[in-house]
Amino acid sequence: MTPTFPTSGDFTIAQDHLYRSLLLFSPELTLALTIPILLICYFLGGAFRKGYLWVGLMGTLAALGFAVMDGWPKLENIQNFYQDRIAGSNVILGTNVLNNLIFSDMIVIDPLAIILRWFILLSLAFILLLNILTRFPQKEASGDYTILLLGSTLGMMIMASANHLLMMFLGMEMATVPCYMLAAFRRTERKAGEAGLKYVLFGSAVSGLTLYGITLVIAQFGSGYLPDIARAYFFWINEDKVPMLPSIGLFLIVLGLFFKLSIIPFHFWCPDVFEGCSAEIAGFLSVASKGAALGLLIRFLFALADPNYTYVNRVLATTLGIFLGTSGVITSTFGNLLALRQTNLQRIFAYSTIAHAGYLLLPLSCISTEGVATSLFYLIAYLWMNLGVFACIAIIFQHQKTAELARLKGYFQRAPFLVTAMVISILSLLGLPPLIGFAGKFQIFSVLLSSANQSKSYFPFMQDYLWILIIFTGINTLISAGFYLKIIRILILDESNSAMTNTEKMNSRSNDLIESSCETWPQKLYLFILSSTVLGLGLFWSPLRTQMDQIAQNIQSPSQTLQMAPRSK
Amino acid sequence: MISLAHYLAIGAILFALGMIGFLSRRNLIVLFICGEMMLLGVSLNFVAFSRFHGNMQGQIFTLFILTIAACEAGLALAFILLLYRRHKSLDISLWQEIHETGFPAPVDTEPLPTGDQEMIFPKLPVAGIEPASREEIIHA
Repeated sequence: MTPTFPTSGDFTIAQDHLYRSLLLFSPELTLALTIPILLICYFLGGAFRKGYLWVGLMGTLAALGFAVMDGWPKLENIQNFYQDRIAGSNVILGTNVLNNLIFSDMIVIDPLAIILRWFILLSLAFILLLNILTRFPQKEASGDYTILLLGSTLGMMIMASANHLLMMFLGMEMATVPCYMLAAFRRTERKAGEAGLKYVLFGSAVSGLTLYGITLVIAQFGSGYLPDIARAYFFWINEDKVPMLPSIGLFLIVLGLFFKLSIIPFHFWCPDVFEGCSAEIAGFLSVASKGAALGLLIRFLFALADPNYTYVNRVLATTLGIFLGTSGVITSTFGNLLALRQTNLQRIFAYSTIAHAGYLLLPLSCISTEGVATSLFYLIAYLWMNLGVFACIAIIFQHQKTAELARLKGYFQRAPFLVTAMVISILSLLGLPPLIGFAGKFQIFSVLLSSANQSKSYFPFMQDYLWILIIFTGINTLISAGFYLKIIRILILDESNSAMTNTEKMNSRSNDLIESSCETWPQKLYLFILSSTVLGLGLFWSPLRTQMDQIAQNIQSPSQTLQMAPRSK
Repeated sequence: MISLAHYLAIGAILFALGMIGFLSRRNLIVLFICGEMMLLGVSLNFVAFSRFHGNMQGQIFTLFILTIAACEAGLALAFILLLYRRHKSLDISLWQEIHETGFPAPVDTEPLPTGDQEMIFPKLPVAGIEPASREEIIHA
């Protein structure tokens, strides 16, 4: 085929496509625009240098506003999400008839991407607000801090909406590289540099592995476009062949995602980094970064074994399910067991984060839309409860300069409101009834149970396997009670150490000064919002669940692209 | 005739060497050079596949990989400098302030070989006036 020179009509189509892409990409563009604004503030000096975090928060809220403005009507009218197509085929950019594929199909804005955008931006807004409340980075440093945080969020949003291996890799690197610096941001702490170094070491090695996986996939299929890979893989599997090279490649890519999710063989960075970095960054890493990685994992899952597609290969789906389920159950068991021995609050919650990453994987193991919906629901529940815990640790660290549990005995008497909020979040992580953590855990159990009953018809061993998962998850909840309740006991019931109060007096801070500065009212309001959401969503969780179900049923999948005309190369 | 397999073999060898070095070396800078070697092996693979499939996807990947490798190397060097100032050594086993509670940090029995303590500098040929000897400088 000889290439023809594009006509003016083609240019018009390209222009329309670009315009539409930029419009759908506006939340990311807003975040990107906030970064130069922060730099301009830095150059202007004077009063402008005081409010970096506020400028960052404004940018985030504007981005969130754009994301909601774009996404809300679409989620309201989710049944017709794919009905709204552009008339006519697109000559230059392939037959891009779906309205939600932008930038030459490199990025997909489907319901999954919309909800993850909201999730990531919301967690960023809460983290920035927490930084304002705890005054963590000093005034001069807060500019760099905000820029890095915004850049990392931008990467996570690209991860959540990637439709091509290149975008996936770029998003992962954009999300991680600023985090290396953020992990080492607590300059006064000796451990911070070490945490940063360990993160860079492990991160660069794992990104090398992921890239090798990407080469192997591209080796076989010659394209990194996810639907192309899905289609090619599907045809191979349907002829009862397993393409060795891309299978290893996909496995390596998933290992890279496991590193970001801190699943067990790749969890070792997590406790060390969490202990060395500030609690705000630990919260950001444990919530926003998990969300983006989980979104990408779900997209991979849909590319390989789409639950909405009726002709999906059962053997492939079951193999994937067993792989994910086993990783999930090992991760949550080891995470909970290792957390029992810890004495540092941030380290305990690092292991708790690892265990919860395992819980997030479990429902994915029964390759079904219900499973995906449950996982998304648990992710959103996890945002509120984990942010609550890390906010409390950040505020404690601001006053006590430590996160060692032994020095926080009887903290309830000094800061009753803070400890109450923390206890609510911890009980929710444990999964007690009126809180959102219970709603999430309950759904994990129920989806595993119903899937065990369904799978009886085609794979009898799958039923036993899912029952084992259920039993192990139950045991895990009991193990996790061990350390969660220990924290609550130390904070509330233990007598505060008298020797400790003496040293505090020696530090020329009178006791009543500590009393008054323990929690300010904005901090109380912040913690109140988080805890009341944990409680409120725990009581009324069915609307959220319905929404998640609808989103899971409408994730952009290769089966839709299969119905389309073949893409022009 | 150099075929695709040759390129892939070199890419795989580079990657494996990088991986082995990354897992076994103790010098921080050598460690990061090994990390870069892994990325270069991957880049070679990408370029070879790009030529093989006759499209540009692999080459574009390589451009991005080089950029990101540069970012990571810059960051890593900054961290190495920061930590070198503290301990005056590049031995990775010295950074063990963060480790599992209740377990002693693993200790390497042999110290990192530091090379000869007395550095031998090349001797320059004498030209013009003989420079002041060391004692004279100290007394002055």
